[in-house]
Amino acid sequence: MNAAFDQSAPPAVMQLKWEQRDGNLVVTPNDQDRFMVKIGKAIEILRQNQHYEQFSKQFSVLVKRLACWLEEHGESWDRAFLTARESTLRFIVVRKQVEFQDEITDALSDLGVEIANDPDLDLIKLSTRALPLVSNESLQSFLDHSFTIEFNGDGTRAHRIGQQKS
Amino acid sequence: MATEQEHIELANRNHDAIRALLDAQGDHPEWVATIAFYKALQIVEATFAWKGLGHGHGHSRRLEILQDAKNGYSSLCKHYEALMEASEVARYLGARSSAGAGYARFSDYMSMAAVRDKLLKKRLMNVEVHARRFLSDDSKKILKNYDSLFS
Repeated sequence: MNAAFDQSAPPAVMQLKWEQRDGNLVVTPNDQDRFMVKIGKAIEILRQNQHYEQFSKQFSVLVKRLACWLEEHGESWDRAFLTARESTLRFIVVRKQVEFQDEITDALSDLGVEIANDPDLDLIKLSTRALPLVSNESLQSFLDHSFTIEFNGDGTRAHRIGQQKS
Repeated sequence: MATEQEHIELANRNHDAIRALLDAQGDHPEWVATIAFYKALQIVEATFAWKGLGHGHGHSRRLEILQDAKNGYSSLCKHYEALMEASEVARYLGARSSAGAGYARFSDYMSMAAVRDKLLKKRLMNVEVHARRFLSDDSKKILKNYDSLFS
């Protein structure tokens, strides 16, 4: 089977780390060239080809805003991804528990509304989704195979369910 | 394109299906969650029709309209999204065997009691209450309320 059409193949996920420096959150992709490729993909997904430069700036602001949200809610999530669906970017947060919890669902909805109404992010279309703690295999149904970025915090977040964190 | 009242009729059909599932033997939390979301979706579409916002083509476009502060749906949006989350978990995860501590079945994520309390009595109720501001008097009269699910 052609790997490009193999839906069971894991998406090419790139990792984003962040750290606090002098009170500022600094977000660092593990590969700057691939990060630029991902921005290009996001532009295609949102059909913003005419606004490359402006979109790239807004995308960086968005990524930092999402990392800030994750930092604020560090105790409630296990993994987090920026991916795509239906010509929209999608921020997916996997809870630490299987059970539904109102708080994280409502906080993510508030974040989505805030971003949708931010005039500095007017080229960005984003939806948010909380998921229960789920296996890596099941998670694939929610990730776009050509566009997925994993928020990896201090580098210890990327792990597979059932495996020990290092 | 469906009219406001056609969307309300579809919402009522979903309401009847939820009622039938609640009355049925055995628990069907994933189906109740899914149909509750589609009832909410039809109610939201009815308000779009009444307000002249057109049709929310696709989940993303519908959500975009709900998120836009200019449209006045801020009090409804988070309840709609909670219903949407539960229906996506039901439809995309369903019953999955899972190695380790992850999701295995919908009832671990949300029991039938939680579907009643958190989805129907809280989220669907709030969608119905907030949506009424954007419905015609005729639609308000014919829309079946969440509380009749429990009478």
